[in-house]
Amino acid sequence: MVTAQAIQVRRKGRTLIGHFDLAFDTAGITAIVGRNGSGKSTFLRTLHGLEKLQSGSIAFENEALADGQAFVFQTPAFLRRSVRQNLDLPFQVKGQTPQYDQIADDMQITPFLDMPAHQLSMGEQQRVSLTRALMMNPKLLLLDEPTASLDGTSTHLIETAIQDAVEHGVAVILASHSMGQVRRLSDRVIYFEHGVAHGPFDTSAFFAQTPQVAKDWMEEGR
Amino acid sequence: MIRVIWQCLFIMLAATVQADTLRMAVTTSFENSGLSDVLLPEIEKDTGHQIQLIVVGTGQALKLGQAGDVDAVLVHSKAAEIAFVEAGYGPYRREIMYNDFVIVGPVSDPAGLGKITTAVDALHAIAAGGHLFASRGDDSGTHKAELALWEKTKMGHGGRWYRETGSGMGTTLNVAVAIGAYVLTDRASWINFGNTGDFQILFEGDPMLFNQYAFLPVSDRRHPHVNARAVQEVETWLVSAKGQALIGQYQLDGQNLFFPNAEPRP
Amino acid sequence: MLWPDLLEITLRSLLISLGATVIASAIAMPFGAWLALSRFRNRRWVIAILNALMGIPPVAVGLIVYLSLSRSGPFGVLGLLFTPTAMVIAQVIIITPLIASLTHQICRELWFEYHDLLISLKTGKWHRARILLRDARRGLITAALAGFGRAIGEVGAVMIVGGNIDHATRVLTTAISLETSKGNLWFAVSLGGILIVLSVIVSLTVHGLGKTERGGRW
Repeated sequence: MVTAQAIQVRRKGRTLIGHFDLAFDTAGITAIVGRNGSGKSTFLRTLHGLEKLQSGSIAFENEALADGQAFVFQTPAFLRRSVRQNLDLPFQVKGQTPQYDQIADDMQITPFLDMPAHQLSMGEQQRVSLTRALMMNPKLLLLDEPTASLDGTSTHLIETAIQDAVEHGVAVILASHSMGQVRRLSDRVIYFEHGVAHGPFDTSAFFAQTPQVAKDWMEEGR
Repeated sequence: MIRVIWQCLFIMLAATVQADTLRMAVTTSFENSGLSDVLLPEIEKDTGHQIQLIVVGTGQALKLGQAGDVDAVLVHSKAAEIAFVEAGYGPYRREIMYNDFVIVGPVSDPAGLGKITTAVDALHAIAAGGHLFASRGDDSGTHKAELALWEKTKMGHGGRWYRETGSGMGTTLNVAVAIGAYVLTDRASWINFGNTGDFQILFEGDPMLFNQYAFLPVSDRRHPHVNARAVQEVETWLVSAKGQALIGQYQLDGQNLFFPNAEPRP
Repeated sequence: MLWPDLLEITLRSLLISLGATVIASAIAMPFGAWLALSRFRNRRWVIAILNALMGIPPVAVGLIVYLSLSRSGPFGVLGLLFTPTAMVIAQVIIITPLIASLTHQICRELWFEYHDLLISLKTGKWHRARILLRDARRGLITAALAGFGRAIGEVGAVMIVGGNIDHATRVLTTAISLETSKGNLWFAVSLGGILIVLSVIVSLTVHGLGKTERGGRW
């Protein structure tokens, strides 16, 4: 369970998200949808501590959800180093020995472990990003449009890996523009508009009988 | 890599703080003339003292002595030296040798110095004609000697023709040659100067241009770290028969530059 | 001037300025990285002062070091005036603001790129600084070389604090100054040529070493 109360995030005098309460169960996959600039990314970043709350509070049901987070950025973020060194980084932070052979194989990135991360294709980069997130054994995995503009192979690999993670009890919050993906993967939907969250809605219900607030947006998508 | 640099630095530093090193502030002419290259190796051979020269103008040399940053000074400006001793910065001054000043200028000699017989008249002619004159303007011995001469001409020397470089002898000579200005210089610096252009000595020989060098130890009462024993030994060497002979024999371009005239200790 | 003398002077120039560059980098680079990572109230002022210090005339630094190290000054007892150490100190003071400012600039851009990732991975401040300095090393090498160039080409300060003593503190620049004052202009220019060649060799060597490191080019 995640509970947000009267939260507000401002930057340069503009409210990015704010003036709403939200509580949702985290089990399975929670999809966050809405137009560009509606506050999806900001909300995800705020959950992860990348944005500061001007007011309000966010409470996680337990500490594991707060501390055991991993984040996959929309634009893959890497050190200017090799893939391997990028994967080693989280372990170095914790002073542990790197272990990611199995995940790397599953994500089909083993062949380019020693290449500079920046030289990979977008799909490969995003697979490396997800590998890095998964090998940290997170309790809560936050994904910011991980498959935006990726080819079918990469999208399939990533979706499969997300579903595997969920089977292993990882809670996933996924911001996405792809209605197909949301319908395929998610258990519940939170809709953002003008920085305000609406929901959560049960996914099947959301698509069967779209709530009034999201109707225009759904029409645009069609 | 870094370790190697440190080792090299350490060796270099160690080499400069040897016990028997002594620092002496000297005027430009002493080094530029080449005399120091003759004397220093002999001094080191005979006394074991390695002398490090700080080459500056007389004014700054005396200030270095005053601050205790050198062990001795060798300069040429009697009035300033006497003031130095009277203020207690040094126990005494010891005259070692002299050379002379000359006035150099463009071969065309617009002020007609060639027909003049005294230094005062020579400067008078330069000032009266408004011919360019380059001055050290740096409180050095040469500058002080020049100012003393101007004093005697009873003429102002502040016109557009009078250019102060605020620099050492060499720089002032470079400036003078470049702009075609007369300049007062010690003979040694002139003979050893490479960039002479069409300049030559236009006036010389007036006893007023006599230039006495003196050796002044820095007071070890005021600055206990001064290596007084070594200074004493170097002074003794400079006034010894050998030291004086070497000074007198030193020639450049077939000319004697310095004339030894040390007298028994005052 | 004889060949051994020339070699000695060249080597001394190199060692003093390399030493100064190493020390200045050790101070300036962590400081620059820290400045790029930190947000505090007077940060703008610190950066403005740093940039102003880059423009401080070396001769002024020389004078301050001279007055401090003079026997009559506060650090006179150390007896450092007119030694290579004094020259290293002066050069460190001259080039530290330059290297720190360049480091800050380079690290700030990299921090902009790394910000989200490193915060997401819960890195500590110390760890962040280390990552920035490591990954910005190519730019930092250039910053260090800029500092080295300024150090080895500097004449006013080292003349004042070193005294241009033959076989002790004479370096290429002060030798150039001396030969110019002797009117040996061509020789002075030749020494300037050596100075340039030396800088080029150092630059090529450092960049050559940098390229062989693991991690490839970016």
